[in-house]
Amino acid sequence: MRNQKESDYALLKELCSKSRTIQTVLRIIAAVFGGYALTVIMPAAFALLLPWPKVDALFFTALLPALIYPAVFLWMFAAPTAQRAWRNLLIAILLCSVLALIAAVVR
Amino acid sequence: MSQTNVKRTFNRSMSELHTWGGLVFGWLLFAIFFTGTLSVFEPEITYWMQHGARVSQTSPVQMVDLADKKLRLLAPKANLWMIALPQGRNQELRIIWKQGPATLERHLNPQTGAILKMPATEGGDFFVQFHYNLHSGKTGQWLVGLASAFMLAALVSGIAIRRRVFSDFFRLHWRKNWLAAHTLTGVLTLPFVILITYTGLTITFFELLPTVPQVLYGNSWKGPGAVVANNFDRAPAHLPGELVPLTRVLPLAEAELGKDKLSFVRISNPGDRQSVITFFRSVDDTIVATSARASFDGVTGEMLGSQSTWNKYVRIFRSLAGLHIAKFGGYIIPWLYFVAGLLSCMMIAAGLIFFTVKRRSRYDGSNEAAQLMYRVIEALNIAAVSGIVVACSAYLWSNRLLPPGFKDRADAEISVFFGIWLLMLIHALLRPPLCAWAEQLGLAAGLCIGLPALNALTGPVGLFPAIARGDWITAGVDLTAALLGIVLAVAAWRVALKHKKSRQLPDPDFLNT
Repeated sequence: MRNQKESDYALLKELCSKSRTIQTVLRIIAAVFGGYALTVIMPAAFALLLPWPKVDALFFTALLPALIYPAVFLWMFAAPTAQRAWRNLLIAILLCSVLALIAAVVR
Repeated sequence: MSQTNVKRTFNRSMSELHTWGGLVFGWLLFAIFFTGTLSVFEPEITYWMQHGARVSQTSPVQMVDLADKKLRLLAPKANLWMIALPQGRNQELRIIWKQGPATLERHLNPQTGAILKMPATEGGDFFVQFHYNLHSGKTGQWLVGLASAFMLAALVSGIAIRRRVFSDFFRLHWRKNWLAAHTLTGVLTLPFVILITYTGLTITFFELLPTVPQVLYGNSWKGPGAVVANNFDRAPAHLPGELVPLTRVLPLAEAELGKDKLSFVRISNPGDRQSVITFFRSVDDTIVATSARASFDGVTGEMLGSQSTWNKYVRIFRSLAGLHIAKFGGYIIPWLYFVAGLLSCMMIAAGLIFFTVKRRSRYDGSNEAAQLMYRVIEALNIAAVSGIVVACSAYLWSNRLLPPGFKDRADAEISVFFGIWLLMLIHALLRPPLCAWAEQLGLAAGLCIGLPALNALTGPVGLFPAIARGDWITAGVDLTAALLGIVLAVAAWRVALKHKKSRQLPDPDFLNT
């Protein structure tokens, strides 16, 4: 039990460390998977929030994902640390989800 | 963290993204860009590979009439007929019909209506498929999407880590090394690469991101076509009704859509009282790649409706598609795309080579694992760059060397492509890098230069008879391949020369200049 806890702690410590390899791995995971999540949620939020006819909203938001995904790639690598990159990304994903939810409920 | 520190971290992570991401995705991106460049001439390559058909086209009326008669004869019970008319760069007259779950297709002689015997082949469409899904379905499409997104990020990060590229380029500070080759071709093709990657990624929207239509339309979503186009199709009445001769409706369709501009006809439920005939206009004179269409009652021949105007955002979206597929602008635009595509391939290749050149001395003194990794990276570079050129030319060769009745012929051609590519990888792993480069480039050059000879020996129309007949499609494919072959031969020769020099010198630092 105690060992388990210690190894958990070690893992956490390692994840929060400033080692370059781990930093890079964290950035890659954030860019590829987190980036995909934002690429899905942000256009969905846009589509629900825009007070336009459905067809307009659909084909306008279709123009966005190809900009969002590369931008997240850059964003994740431009942040000073991987931890901060993850934090910012999660905030963005959460914000978009909340907006999408509110818009979906209001509709 | 101090200001300079932040800046240093930023530069370091940007360069990390560009360098290592560029390496991993570069292999994939070269394959995508090279086959994509070939896809520009998909109709021409298909025509070259379907050497059963070398018949000039006739008037639309005659061809529609022949196709109509053939379909009535072959598929009276089908629930869908389609006719693809020769139009612009597309030379073939095809009839397609759906009977239950099966789809059947025949090529017709536009002069006589006789069925043309064709060797089964995917033609140039294989390159189109490969460049957007790597011939591996949804997984491949995801990978291509990810690589494209990375490509756009790599352009920005590349400029971020080397801001001098533009001034170097425009002040003509052109150096002769691999980094300069990478950055110069990068600046030169920057607009093209942004355009082609952004449009390519955007037009896969409905396939890769089905969530947006889901949240807007829910379960009523039936694909983008259903929400943008007026639908004139009707459910079958299951009562017999004589289908009006298509030639009688054709003039009405031409009046609506433009004379000699029809490219496709679709007849739903032929022989039913509720059948519908829809004519589609070709898109080869417009950037907005959406066909104007006109629908007619299949029994009375009356027009049910037509559509040639589209929603504003649909127009924007489809013009991105049009900019990607480059079907407009006659032959000027496709050639521009082809040249820009080849230059982009060179940009990617130079970047991959620069990666290894820069690290050669660094890995010389390091441990065995690092040296092995370096060796594998070098082999993958070779297989990804010269290997795929060999594989693509081998694909064209297999088209002429496999006998027409070969079992699963179309698949066999594709197996040749992948088999040769794998062989090239093994070859690159076994041979010293410079030898492997020279040999593979030489092989690719030989295959490309030999293509006109192969065509003359095995096809119905060789290079010179084709020119004499004015068949510039066959001749064009032959000549382009030969020209590319000459360029490849020069490259192979130069690498071989460097290899020879490097063996005489004690310290091999070739490829560096």
